[in-house]
Amino acid sequence: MLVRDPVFQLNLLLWMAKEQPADAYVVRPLFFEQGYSILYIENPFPFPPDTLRAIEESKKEISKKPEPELILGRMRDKTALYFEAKANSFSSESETSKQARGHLLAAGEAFAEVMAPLRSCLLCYVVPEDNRPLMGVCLHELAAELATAGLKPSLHSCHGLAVESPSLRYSWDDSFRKHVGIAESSSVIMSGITEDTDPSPLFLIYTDEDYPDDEQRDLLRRCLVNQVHALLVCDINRVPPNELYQCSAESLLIEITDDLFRFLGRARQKGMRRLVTENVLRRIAEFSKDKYSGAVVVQGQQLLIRFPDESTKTAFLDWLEDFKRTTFQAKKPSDADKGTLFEQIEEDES
Amino acid sequence: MNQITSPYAPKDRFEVYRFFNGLSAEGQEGLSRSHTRIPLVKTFLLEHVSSRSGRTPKTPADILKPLGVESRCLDDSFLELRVWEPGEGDAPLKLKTVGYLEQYDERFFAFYTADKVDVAKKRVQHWLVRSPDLDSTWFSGQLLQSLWDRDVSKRGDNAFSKLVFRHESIFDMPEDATQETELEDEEATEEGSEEDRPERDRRKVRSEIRDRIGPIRKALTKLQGNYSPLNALYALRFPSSAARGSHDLYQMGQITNRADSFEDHRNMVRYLYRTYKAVLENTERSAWLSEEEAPAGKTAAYFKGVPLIIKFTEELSEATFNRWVNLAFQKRNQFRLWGDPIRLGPRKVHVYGADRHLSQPINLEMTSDRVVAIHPKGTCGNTFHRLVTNVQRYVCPKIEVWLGAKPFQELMSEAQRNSGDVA
Repeated sequence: MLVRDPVFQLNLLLWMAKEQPADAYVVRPLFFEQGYSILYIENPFPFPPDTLRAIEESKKEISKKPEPELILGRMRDKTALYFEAKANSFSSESETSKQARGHLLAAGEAFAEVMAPLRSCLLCYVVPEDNRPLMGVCLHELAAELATAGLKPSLHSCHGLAVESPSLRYSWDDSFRKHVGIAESSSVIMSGITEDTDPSPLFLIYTDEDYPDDEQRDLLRRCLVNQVHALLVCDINRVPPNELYQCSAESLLIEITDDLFRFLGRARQKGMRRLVTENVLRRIAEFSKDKYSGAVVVQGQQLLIRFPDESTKTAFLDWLEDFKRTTFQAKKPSDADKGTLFEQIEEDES
Repeated sequence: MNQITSPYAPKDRFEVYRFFNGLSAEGQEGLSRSHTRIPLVKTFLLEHVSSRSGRTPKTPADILKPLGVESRCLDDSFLELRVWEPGEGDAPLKLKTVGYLEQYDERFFAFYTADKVDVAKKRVQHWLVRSPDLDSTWFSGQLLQSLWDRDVSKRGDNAFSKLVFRHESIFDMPEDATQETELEDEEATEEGSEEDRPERDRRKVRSEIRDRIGPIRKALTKLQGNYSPLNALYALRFPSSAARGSHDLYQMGQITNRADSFEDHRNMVRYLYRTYKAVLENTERSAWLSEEEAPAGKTAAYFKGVPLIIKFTEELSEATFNRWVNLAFQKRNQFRLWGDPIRLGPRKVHVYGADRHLSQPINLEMTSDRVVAIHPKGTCGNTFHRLVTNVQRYVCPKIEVWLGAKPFQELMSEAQRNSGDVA
């Protein structure tokens, strides 16, 4: 089931671009070995004006702001890889094809214009291995359709993920082999996979979405909440008494994601802000209301802390560092909840 | 009778050097007669967490003041450190000089003292626990091995050296026993002193080889291949190349002077400081690659840094793994980590937590055969070295370590080459 999950797929791709030892890797760093490094993660691709005009004139269903999962670049030959991960293949008639047309054009002639000095880009769709042939057919049809309309689509490639117990295999096609200059056509990228253990490597991306494993539905949100919790513990430990500390859900998220949060789509940003506000900041505000009135306050989007003395700080940290007492939840805040702290904040800010 | 361990109101650092020189010569003379009447001069090489993680560097005096230590400047970078101690009987508290601190640079300080080792270690440990600005320097087994390979083993086959190995599989035993291993005095431990004590069934190795360098070099690789705890190097003796005697370097940055000259000791400490600093800077450079030339705008080229991977050569049992996971995140544990492990299987957890000592976030994957750690950009390199040191000492004595694709040993060799090898 995990090989169909977009978060797991993207996390794998990120690990495959991360420097690791050849004989003790977490995930085989296939892209790193080939000289590629991470340029963008989930960042909308900005079409140049002439491409946008051509898209409009074509009257075709084409996404004007395609958002690839990942772009990797190799400066030595100015080549790039543009990744999109999908749970399943789809047909050229489906609604998803609008997005795929956008990706094909983004990775095409427009790419060199926007991403100079990179020159040549290959669009790579990552799907479960058994969906790879159909995905290839779809991309072929869409590229032909765009070319017929006088547009400039990219070369494309399909990659497959398959569990071959106890390993996870990643496969690719001739287009990828030629573009990257690699002789193999597939590789084991993870080994030692067992039924009783989730194979996920440490998460390098964060989201408020559900995890595909029913028993671990909150896993991704738990990772996010724990990261924010850890950052608060570190920050607040370093604040001397009488000095003001302030943060917001947004500033915390920017920091734990090394700035990546700024590049995420609005819906995901909002979901993550909501999770941190409702499940962490709201809990801190409620706990502190009586005990630390004036010292720990949530005002608008901001958490404001100014400890009057060392003992107040110590007492607050004793609580904050104790998981049994803080009990920050990882459940998704319900959309149905009205009058939540998050809703109030967003309303106040708008 | 109390020993005099500091000169009276020294006017400058050289008066302190001359005093320590006298102690060194007397100490060396005592050592050559197999007993010492006075404690040996020792140095603790300390790291100030400085401007890492956006913090403003502090002066040593500002760091030490909240710890109850009063500083008196002898010059711009040399301080006399004094603490209030109870007088004899009903006598009021009095200020006592406990040693001298030299600031090598913004990040590294050396604390010189002639106090007894147990007193000095307890004092330094107290400072380290109470101050988030201070940390030990961490000469991991890997770094000590590298210093042996590249330096000590080449100091002449007839010179004497000493290698001390320590490993305690503390997670192999009941949970209440894991807190008992701190601050044991390796200099004072005598053979047979534990005869009357009950002993737990667990792997605990304290071994030392004291011999001429030639025979040690010939035997060491084979011994380490045959018995894994002999890879957990804990202390290393450097025969002095300029004076009579030697210098002992311990894992937590303590260097004990067994030579007859304090200046020679200080030279050795400075050499180890340069080596450690080069290793740390190389670690930090390797962990967060500088941003590559990017096409346009902001990129994620340095995204979350490269992973530190520590592979165990002996897999932990499920029970040991579980004890490690349960205890490593408790407040007083040696690992000094904070976090709430997320179970992904019987022998695998993820922790999105923090380094308790330096208050820096850390993400960990712990399994029964490895640790993977990712630190946010800007984390102090000491965190890597502390983790490696503690894993080798308390979890698995024989480990392989990489930072990204680079073996840890290579990281150290590069740094040692760049810092100018032999003292």
